[in-house]
Amino acid sequence: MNLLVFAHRGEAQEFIKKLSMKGVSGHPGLYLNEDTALLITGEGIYEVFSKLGQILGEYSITKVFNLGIAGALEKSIRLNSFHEIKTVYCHTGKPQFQSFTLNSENSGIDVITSSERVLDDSYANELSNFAPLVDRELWAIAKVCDECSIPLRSFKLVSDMAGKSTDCFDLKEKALEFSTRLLEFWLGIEGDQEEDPGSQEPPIQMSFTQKAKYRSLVKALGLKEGFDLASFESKALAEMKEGLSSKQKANLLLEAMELGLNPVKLSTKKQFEKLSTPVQAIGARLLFDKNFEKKKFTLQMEINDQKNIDNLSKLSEILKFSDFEKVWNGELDV
Amino acid sequence: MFENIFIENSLKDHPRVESILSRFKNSNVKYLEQYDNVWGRVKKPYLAKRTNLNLFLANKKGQLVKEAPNAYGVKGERHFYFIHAFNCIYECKYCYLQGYFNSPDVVLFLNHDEIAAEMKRVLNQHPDETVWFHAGEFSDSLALSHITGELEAYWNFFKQNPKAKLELRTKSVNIKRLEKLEPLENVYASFSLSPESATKQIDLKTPPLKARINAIAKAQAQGHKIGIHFDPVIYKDEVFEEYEELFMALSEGIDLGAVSYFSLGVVRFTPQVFNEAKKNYPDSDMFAAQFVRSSEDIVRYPRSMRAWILSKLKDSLIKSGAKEQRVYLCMED
Repeated sequence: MNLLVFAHRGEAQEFIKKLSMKGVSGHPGLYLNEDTALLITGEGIYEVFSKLGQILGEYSITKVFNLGIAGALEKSIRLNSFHEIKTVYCHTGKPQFQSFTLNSENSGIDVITSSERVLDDSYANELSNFAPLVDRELWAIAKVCDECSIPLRSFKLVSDMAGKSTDCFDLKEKALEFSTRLLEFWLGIEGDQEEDPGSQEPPIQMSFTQKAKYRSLVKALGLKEGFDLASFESKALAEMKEGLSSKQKANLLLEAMELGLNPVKLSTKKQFEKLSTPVQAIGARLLFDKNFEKKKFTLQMEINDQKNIDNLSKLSEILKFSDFEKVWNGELDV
Repeated sequence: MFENIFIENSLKDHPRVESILSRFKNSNVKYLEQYDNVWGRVKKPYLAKRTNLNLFLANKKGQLVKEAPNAYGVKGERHFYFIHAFNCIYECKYCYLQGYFNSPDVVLFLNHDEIAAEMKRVLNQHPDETVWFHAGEFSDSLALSHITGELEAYWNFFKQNPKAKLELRTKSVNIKRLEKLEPLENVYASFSLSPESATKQIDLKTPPLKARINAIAKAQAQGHKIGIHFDPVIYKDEVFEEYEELFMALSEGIDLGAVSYFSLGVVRFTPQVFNEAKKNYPDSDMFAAQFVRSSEDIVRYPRSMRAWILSKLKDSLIKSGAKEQRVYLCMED
């Protein structure tokens, strides 16, 4: 369900009326219709924190949209123009370091949320160092959405120049006009929302861990120019021997996919295995780090007989560290 | 190019400020006490540089010259970088600046005399060593040099101090100021190059490869010492063919045997920059490879993969005419 967030009832009034939204008892400021929720937070960041957090916790909200008016901080911003917001900053007597970049689909401009009303030019000038628009709530909305991992978009209608010329009474009188314009704008963009593509399912049975690995490999391989997952998978599956278990098939497919991202991984592994053969022959093992990143290995062997020690001493004649170094240095049969 | 230009109050009457402002007449000009009262005070997203890039003109305070990490440049010599600017007008998708600073806004420092004095102090501390000073750690060295006019100031320093070496690292073709300067034995213009496809798709806003090769050829013909960086190499299925084409194009345009040094390095990130780059460019084929986080806290290809890539490219480069002893591998042990 989408949630529309407004600061004032005045801005939301036409949405409530035209979208046939009903108030929810026990939740002042919350309205619902069949597929959309609407929340009026009240003015300022502190109102947002308490009200929005509660709604996102109680309802299954997939996207949040903030609509409202904003003040211009630069003369180049036209009054009555609409802007999608890209990044929101905050000023609470001093600039807050944390900013939020919204999920804007169009090019947008930035806004700074002020914890105070902007009623003098020197404060407006200070804010203009960071963004060309100012509002009172968006940063808090973005912070709550970020913490809940819910995508947020925001659209602002420029109502006035912020500073000493701001007239709060005049803005209240124009609330119906602003609300009508915001609704018209919203109806124009509402149909454009893209749905997220679902998670890719593997072509064969996989465990939970294998599936997670599969999805991450699909994502990386999908970035390759001209990569066709379906034909890659059918080729890899066709090359597999008959009689393999599902787990073996899944591992082979994942290995084939990994080769697409690191063409030397398999040959690195095989060359180290080959070099380890004499060690295995005496009942010992060479242990490498997972990605063969460190130029070292550990020799592991159980000693329960003098013969083990004799075998171990023979290793120095057949095991050459320089052979291992060659592999680490990229001398690979690829 | 710049939405706003912020100038420190103490630089109001600086002659270079007037000349810079004359080039950006459409920008809003604002004055402030110190650039970092605004720059970096809030986390400004890296990609904001596409839509609202600001310029700050300031004096650099604090450390003006810093020692470079191990394996930064030619091995066995001491390397420092000096800070003449923060951030860059280009947008390379792997650039570590996207996770390094809290703002993509460009800062140009104007106190070059103080920076040169600090370099002199560092030089005096290492009287028996070859000391390199690199420009371009935090910004492209030449891209805005026609505006900053700083090259002359550093040129004088290196002319007077022949034991010190200067490297100007660039992706630009802006050699206007360089062409006006007499070549010095201890000053190297070094150009970072990638194959044509990477130049277009990954090194956004940088000049085309052909123009860059032409700029190198001009600088070389004029007698400037040249360095070439093939760094970062980004793996793709066609990587070796693409670099072979690049080496061939380069060998046709310039005398590879006369190039003072070449560096080769594969793409690498700090974990923070890796995450930032993935966020900024989630669909980039730069991420179509296996990355591991090494014990040094570097995110890069696994050891054998990067060694394999670098050794093949090194062979190919030498076959194209580069002298083997002049090729070094960057940030590799």
